[in-house]
Amino acid sequence: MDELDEFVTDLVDLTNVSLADLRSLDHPILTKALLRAAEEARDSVGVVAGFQAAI
Amino acid sequence: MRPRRRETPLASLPGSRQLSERNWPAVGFDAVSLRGEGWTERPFRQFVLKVNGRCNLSCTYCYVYELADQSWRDKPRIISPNALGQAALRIAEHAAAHRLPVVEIILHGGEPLLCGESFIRSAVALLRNAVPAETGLSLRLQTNGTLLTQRMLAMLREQDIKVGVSVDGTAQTHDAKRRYANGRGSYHLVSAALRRLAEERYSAIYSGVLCTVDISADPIETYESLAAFSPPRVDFLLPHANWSALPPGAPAVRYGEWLSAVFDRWYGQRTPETRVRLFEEIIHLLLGGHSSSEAIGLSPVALIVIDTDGSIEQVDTLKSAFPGAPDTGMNVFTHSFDDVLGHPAIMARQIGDKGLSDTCRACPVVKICGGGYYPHRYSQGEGFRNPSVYCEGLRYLIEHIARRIRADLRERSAC
Repeated sequence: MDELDEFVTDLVDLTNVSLADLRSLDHPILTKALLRAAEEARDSVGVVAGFQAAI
Repeated sequence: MRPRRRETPLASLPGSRQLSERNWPAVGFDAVSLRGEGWTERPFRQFVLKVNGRCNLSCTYCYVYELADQSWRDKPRIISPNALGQAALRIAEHAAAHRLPVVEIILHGGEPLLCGESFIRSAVALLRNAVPAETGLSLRLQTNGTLLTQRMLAMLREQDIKVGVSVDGTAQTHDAKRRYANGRGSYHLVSAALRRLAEERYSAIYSGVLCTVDISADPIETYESLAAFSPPRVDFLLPHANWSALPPGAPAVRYGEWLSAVFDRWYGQRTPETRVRLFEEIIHLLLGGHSSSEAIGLSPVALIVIDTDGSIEQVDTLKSAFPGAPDTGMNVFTHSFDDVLGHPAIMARQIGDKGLSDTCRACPVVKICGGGYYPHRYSQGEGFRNPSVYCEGLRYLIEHIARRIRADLRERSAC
């Protein structure tokens, strides 16, 4: 499991979405957005935590 | 060695609170306190280089020629070799001082292709030679597309210059605004150019299309007409407006409704035809990320403009606000870009929500909209510390996108 996968695992813990679910979202725009956010959030803010705080 | 910055006189001007609020950030910007709190400037990474100050089109909404600022009349048509060389040295100096891994130079105008092939070749050679070896150089060009011939495209590909083309949707919508001085539309030339650019051999240099929103046009038809050119990315630009020159046609919320309709069409595709920067940035911000666009979010401004006379300006869309609005009073012959970083108007756009109005700072979506695009916040007599004139539209769009993303995440969570 690479570093991004580890982070995505943390992310999906927050949303109760399994890693497999995320990989098979069948929604390229959302999947890409989640992966971009996950990559950037490695050293900043939590992804879904950020989302929940924003709205 | 990093160039020593000179403080601009404006930064130290005293003023009453009332005067400060009305003219902020030109007057009353407290740079000393900010630095005392440990705040530091972020270097510029994007340099808009105006190689040609004139245009062969006469678009009705053009911020350079048709709105408040008419300074183009006093500037050279083409950037001089001296100004170009000095601009290249200043960019190189900035890149070296800040150890920038990459800088982006956008050849702009007016219409940059009016300079001709050989000029662009020479300019690019000069820029490549100047930038330090350890800094990558990404070259872009924004064009109206009318001069994007096969020969010009071949040169741009050879020079590895990525191309963005301005096109406003359908032929009818486009030609209503993007036309020649004699009233003739430009769509036939632009669409032909975009079909050439969409050919496989130019895929490496096809950056995307830029569309100014016209809410009198059908949003889906507009989006689909843009997507038909297979652009890697679509940029939607709200018409230049502010509190003293209101958006054309309708209340700001209509712009949010219009963009939301486009969002639904784009987001609903299982195989997306293209990327839409505004929507991707909003989703990214909603997910807690940082924006890479100056139009939205609270990320520090990283873009600066060099005009054909070597003068250094803030984002030139500020010309839509009032005459001289983008001026810094600095130029590449006498000032470094580090000097420009010390200008209060630049600093004001690098301090996140501290640069926003109280209304914005209290708003639940401020981290997403970032107060909106800076030029859209202007009000005569009140300066820039206001919400965007598109505030209601931005909030409508952001909440619409948030509902869609939240619903999708919850749906997956429930599985």
